[in-house]
Amino acid sequence: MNPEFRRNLWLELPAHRVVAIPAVLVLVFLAAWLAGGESAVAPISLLTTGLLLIIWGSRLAADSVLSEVVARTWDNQRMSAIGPWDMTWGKLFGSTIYVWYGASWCAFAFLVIGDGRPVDLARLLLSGLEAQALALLVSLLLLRRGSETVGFQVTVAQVGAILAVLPIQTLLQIDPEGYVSWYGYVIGQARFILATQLALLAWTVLGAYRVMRAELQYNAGQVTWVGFVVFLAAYVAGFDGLLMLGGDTRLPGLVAARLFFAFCVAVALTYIAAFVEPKSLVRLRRWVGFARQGRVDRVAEMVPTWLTSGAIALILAIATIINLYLIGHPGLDPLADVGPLILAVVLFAVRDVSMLYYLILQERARRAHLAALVYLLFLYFLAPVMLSAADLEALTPVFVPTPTGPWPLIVLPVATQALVAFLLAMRRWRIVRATDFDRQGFADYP
Amino acid sequence: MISVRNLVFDYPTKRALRSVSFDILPGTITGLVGPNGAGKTTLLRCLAGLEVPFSGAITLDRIDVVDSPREAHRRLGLLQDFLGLYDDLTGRQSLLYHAAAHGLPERDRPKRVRDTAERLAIADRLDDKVGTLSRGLRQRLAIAQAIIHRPKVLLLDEPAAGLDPDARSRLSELLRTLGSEGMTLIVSSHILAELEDYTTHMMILRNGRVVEHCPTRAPVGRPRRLRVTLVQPSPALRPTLVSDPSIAAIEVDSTGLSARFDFAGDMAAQAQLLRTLLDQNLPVAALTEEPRSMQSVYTEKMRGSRR
Repeated sequence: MNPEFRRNLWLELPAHRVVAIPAVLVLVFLAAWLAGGESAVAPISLLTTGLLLIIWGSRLAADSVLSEVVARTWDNQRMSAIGPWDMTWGKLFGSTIYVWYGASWCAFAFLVIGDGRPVDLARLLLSGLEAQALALLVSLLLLRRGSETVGFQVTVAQVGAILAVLPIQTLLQIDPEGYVSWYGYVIGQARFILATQLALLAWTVLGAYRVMRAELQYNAGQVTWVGFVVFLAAYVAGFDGLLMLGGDTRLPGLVAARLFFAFCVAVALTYIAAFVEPKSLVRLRRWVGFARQGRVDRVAEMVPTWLTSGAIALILAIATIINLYLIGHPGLDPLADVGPLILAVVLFAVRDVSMLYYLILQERARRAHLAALVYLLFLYFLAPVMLSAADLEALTPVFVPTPTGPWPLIVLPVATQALVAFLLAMRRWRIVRATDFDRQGFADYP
Repeated sequence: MISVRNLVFDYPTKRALRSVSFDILPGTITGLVGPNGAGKTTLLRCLAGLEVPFSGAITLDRIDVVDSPREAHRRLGLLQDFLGLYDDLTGRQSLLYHAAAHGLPERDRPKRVRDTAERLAIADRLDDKVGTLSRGLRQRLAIAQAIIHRPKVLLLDEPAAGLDPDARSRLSELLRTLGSEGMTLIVSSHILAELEDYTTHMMILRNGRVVEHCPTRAPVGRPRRLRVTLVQPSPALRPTLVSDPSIAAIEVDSTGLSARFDFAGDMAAQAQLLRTLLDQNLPVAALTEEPRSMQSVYTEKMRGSRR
């Protein structure tokens, strides 16, 4: 048996806990039955399952690695022979085994006593697993970034996982009989969401495995991230409803429109990666050092994931323009109508990533990510609102990518901002690289 | 067994290790000493493959630790100062877990756990919860966890911290035994007198640099430091010592009752020296070899490195 899973069984399922949870749950279901009869048991058991698997389970999963860090046992695990896959599933299912044990009693009550639909229970179990896998993934990502306290990391991982899973449950409640039009195919919404959940679960577990590989000092590579970016871009670009946004009837049926939405997804993932990626002065120095030594394998291994997704975004941007040129579309000029917008989005991304690195490369960069987030909120949300209040909407392209307006206004201000931010980041890189060790008398930096 | 070349390790605003190079022979016990912040723990973590250095090479039993840390882990055991135990498991469960985590076949695990526990004298406490054990027993359990897969190299960071004198003495004995069985040990500690009990070599780190790496006992052929003690002072002592060509660096103490000096001869030459001193009617009470104190070497080297 997987040693990590077995260790969790020893810790999570001692005799007194095995007895305690069914005893409590039987009392809950009995109270529901007495209050509302058989019909009350199904919703209560579903609610209890949700609380156990999504709320408590995501906490346990988020804590599964971070508690090892606090107890100082993580280094022993990193030095063990347990592989990344065994470590991932051992932690995911081992740390949450108690809530799954509790959920199995709820499922029993739901199926045997209650009168609910088994498919609702199956979806909830899937959401529970997704929340737990996501909590594990986020906790691992935060651990690798290492810029927050462990308690904060656990809470962020748990809350993030819950917030990601709840919309799916809500969607199912709003319109369970609805339909989705995806790449021209009309699919039942419930079935489509189930497939989406399964795909996201697979990507989440794969993502946790990939980060676990890096944490256990295996070469994690870029394949998983590239695969995920391509998958999500293709997935989002498939929604036909997106092509009707703004009532623009020219877009439906255009491959270029789908490519454009895929480009937007890749840009969004570039931002997420830029914030989540572990980055430090030391890591940057090592990467640049390997590049200077010509160690291609190491350089490729350490390429920041935001750079990879940024490259995919660029490819999609170019593909969008080329497609428009080749296919053509009445009344749509690739360069005048779409080119400036795509260029502006790319330049905004360059500005923002440069600003993030400018903040990260400070000596005391503990709150750099938070500071960058605040600046971005100001630039993208508060500044346009202020412009609007001052009747200066024409200047909006200075702060957010805008599809309409003269191209110099869409491109030139952001190009200037991107250039300034990039130069500032480079300047800071040169300063910290040259001064940190000199101050301490270290003159022999390789 | 261990070879380190030009190892450089950086923290964001500090270089922790600066071109560190050394070789460690198999079966030796090296005491790693130095002031706080010298880089001892960082060096141990790099050797253990837990930290990736900026540059440099670490080879352990012909394995490149930087490129293949997982391979190196099979040959390594690490005991950190915070032990890393699961308080809610029993000692037996802890050892079974570590045996499994290091890939030992299931059928061999109970016997390996029993053998390791007996070796560490904790067999009778294996079914106690780890959280209920004393600091000394926890220490031994942590060492048992670290050596259950029989590593060739054991790294220990401040293993004696928090132990009472009795537990420290048992720890010294255990480390000596492991060393005598061929395991290579590197022990980081602030307690030099204790390291003296069992180390064969000493490595001094200061500001991320190795300032000394030497055997703790003088090797054959090297001058030994001798001390002659008289019953009463004698003016003939110094001239007699000076006349012997095997003697150098003479220090006569202010009372004139004893003198210390480097002696290049072997044991037969030492016997001849004793005869010479007695022939000169010097009232010799003792002629003994002065152990090369780690504390004295440490103090001397630290002074030298500051200059």
